Amino acid sequence: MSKKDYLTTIADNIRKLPKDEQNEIMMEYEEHFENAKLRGRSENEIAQKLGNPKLIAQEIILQYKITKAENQPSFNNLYKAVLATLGLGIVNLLGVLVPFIAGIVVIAALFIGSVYLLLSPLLLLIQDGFTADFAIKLPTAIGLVGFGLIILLGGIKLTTLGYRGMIAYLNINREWIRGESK
Amino acid sequence: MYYYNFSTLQYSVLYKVMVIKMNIQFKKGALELCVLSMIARKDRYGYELVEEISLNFEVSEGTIYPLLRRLTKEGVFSTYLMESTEGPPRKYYKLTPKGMQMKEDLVNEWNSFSNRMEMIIEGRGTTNE
Repeated sequence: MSKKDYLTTIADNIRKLPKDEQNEIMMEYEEHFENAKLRGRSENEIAQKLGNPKLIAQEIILQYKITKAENQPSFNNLYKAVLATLGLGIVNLLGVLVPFIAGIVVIAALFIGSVYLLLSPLLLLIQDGFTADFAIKLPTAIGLVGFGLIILLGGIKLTTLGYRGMIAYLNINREWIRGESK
Repeated sequence: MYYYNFSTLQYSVLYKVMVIKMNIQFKKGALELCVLSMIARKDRYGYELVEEISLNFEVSEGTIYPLLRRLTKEGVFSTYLMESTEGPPRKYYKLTPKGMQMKEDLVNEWNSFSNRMEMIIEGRGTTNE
């Protein structure tokens, strides 16, 4: 592959990134080609030793998205990072997507459960109205509110841990994919 | 007979995948240490590092740049451009104090690891002596 084709392929595939990020990356690879040519290497050989430009571009994007999810935590950023991983291989469909979805399901269940528990006195009121029955069951319901608070706090903590864990896991997967495509 | 063959095949594939994964994690750590210690001695530019590392290790040349980029973002390196007479301006990498610390830590880890490996290989410090 010629240097021009190679660099164009990378440039085309990293267009989603911020402009100065793109420029920096293109300068790096331009520098690499030029320095290698000074050593007498052919453009074809240089391109070959670097590896598939599309994969390199995808990995650049993945790294960028993982770093973004790390520095600006949000579900959206994490989700985009997971998507970028998927673009790199079928294995990741099972290995990454499944834990991600499982994590979301568990955390959603915890939050929904805690909301239900927190609302239990109100639900009890709706069910029984202002009756003696209600008065008897109320203390239990209040206890459930406390329980619900614990579950809520647990859910929040689990979300934080899960987020960081997911990022660490994405990083490990990224290393593995890169090693595989060598 | 068929069942036996299938399960040994499964086992060996799984084993190979595990070994590959471990090798890659190991190589990644080794590469980081290489790059850190080389830059610790002297500021370097990208292609210099690629060339020197390729002398000793079989690595795809494309692996170095993402590594440098990531470590720079993490604050391990700072970079600056320097004009060159021969070609394009070169981006030089330099260790930050945080990078110096990281390099020290990795070197210590490596030393302790290789000492222990050596002991096991030479049969020292085991009970079968």
